[in-house]
Amino acid sequence: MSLEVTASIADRHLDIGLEVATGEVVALLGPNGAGKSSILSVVAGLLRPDAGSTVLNGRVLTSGSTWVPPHARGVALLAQDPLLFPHLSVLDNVAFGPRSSGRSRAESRATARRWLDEVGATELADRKPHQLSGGQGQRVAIARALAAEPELLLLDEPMAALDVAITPALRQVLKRVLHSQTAIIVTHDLLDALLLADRVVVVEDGSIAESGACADVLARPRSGFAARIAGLNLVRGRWDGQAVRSDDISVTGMPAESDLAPGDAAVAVFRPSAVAVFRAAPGGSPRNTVEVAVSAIEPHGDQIRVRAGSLAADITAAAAADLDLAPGSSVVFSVKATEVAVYPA
Amino acid sequence: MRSRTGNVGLPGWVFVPAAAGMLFVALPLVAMLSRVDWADFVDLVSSESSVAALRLSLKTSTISTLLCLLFGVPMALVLARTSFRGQGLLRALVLLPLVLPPVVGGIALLYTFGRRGLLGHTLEVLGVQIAFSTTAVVLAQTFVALPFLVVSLEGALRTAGQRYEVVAATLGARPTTVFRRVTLPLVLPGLVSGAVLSFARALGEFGATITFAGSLQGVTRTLPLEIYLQRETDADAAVALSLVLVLVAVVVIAVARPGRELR
Repeated sequence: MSLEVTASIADRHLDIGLEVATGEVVALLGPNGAGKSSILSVVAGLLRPDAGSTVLNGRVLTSGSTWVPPHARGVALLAQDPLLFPHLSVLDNVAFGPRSSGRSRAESRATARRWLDEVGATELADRKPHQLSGGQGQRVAIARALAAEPELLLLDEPMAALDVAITPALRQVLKRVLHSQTAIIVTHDLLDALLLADRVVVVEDGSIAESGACADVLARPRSGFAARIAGLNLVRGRWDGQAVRSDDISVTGMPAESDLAPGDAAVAVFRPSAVAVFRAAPGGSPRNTVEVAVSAIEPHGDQIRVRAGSLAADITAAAAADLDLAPGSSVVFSVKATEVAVYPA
Repeated sequence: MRSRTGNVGLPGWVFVPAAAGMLFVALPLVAMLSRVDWADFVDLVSSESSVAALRLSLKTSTISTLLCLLFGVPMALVLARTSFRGQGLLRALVLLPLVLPPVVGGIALLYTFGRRGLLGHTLEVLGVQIAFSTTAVVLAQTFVALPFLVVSLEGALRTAGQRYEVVAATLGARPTTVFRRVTLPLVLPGLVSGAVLSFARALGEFGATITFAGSLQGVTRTLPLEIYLQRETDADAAVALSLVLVLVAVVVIAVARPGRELR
């Protein structure tokens, strides 16, 4: 085990135990105020728990009277905002970690350049932080955190403050750099968990509600939060240049990143509300269609959720009545290619 | 009155007392300028006693400002970045010289460092005589100027917040490195304006100085004391020297004007 942490904080109703293996990326999912960020603060040494211990790679960081200060923990924290030091250039921001560990200026800058290259921000090296866009700033912040060579990287909703248009590109950067990094990522976004994490831990009301492989948690959610976020339709398969093909379905969609090559593992994601339901396949339009058997019909807000195996469609009550749906009915689910996001998996 | 866009506008009557107030500040300066004896100005400000006073003022104010930095920066850090019981009381104590009449400050210093003061005997044993020396001038100035630095810097530290410091620490920077490479550069504008305000306050110090340090030419007679003395014998010299202090004040305000951002 790389990280073992137990912590309880009475004020925040937090009482958790969490383990992260070396090289593993764990996603902490949960509603606002559940205690996800508090867990990160405890691990980073920014918040002293009432009781508990933190052990990282055999080193005791917190236990009883033992208290290792944040700078000596080997734990880097990446927050929602890039928080780049405004008075330093991008290069010197990234060189800050190596410099603080006592390496020479030249060596630190060389390390910084390597990490800037890694996140695709080489050309930003000489800029000041105020000359960067939000997405550029966060790329640099990722490089800065990694340049410190942390044993553990903590990411606190690293994409929550960014424009949705640029999150897919940044997610790809994170996916690449987290490949060999032990990390905990706090997120609201199911896709982050799905694409970046090896394992999902759901935190509710200050304690751990469930934990497991992402697909398992989504397929059989045991916590309320997981069930709520599991509402998205996911199709896993291989990208053939046009569509994600699984054994029994093919979904045409828009890759969020251009570096997806035919044959790559991919996942197509679309919202149930984007799915239309027909009795017979509609002709002409550029839609994905799949013939399915209805497995359940349930109310979902002011709509009707039609489930068919692992897929779901949200339609109006009137449409459901028109279609004369019942469990077992054979229908066609249809979704526009423009409503389908495709991600490398 | 035209208002800028995005401004909801001010009630018209506000401008009347505002203008009166500004006039109240400006008029005495104009009155003083009108009394300056321009023909003899250079002679008046370059007399032996004037030059000695100016030199002493600049020297003691500079040392006082350095002392304010030496003690005020750590004080501001402790006030802004820690919390402990009695901190509010301590802050009030630090700010006391700001509201205390300087004469009272001078008396307090006299009973601390004076020959018969609290530390006077100890200092005398050590062969140190502070009262009525240039050292006393520096102490008096530091005493009244210190709160200016602490207040400015504490405000700057609180505004800057700790978020950058937290990031720096998690990147492996020790507290001293964080202070040197992150905290200090971030609050530099606040530190500069605090230091300039302290310098200005030290330069204008009168009450505590005359009480605690006396008025010996070249030793403790700073420019404000010189002006006060000259006023009784040579009003023209007093006005000319006053103008010198006004010029210094203008420079100080130009350097420390608020709203300048570090980019």
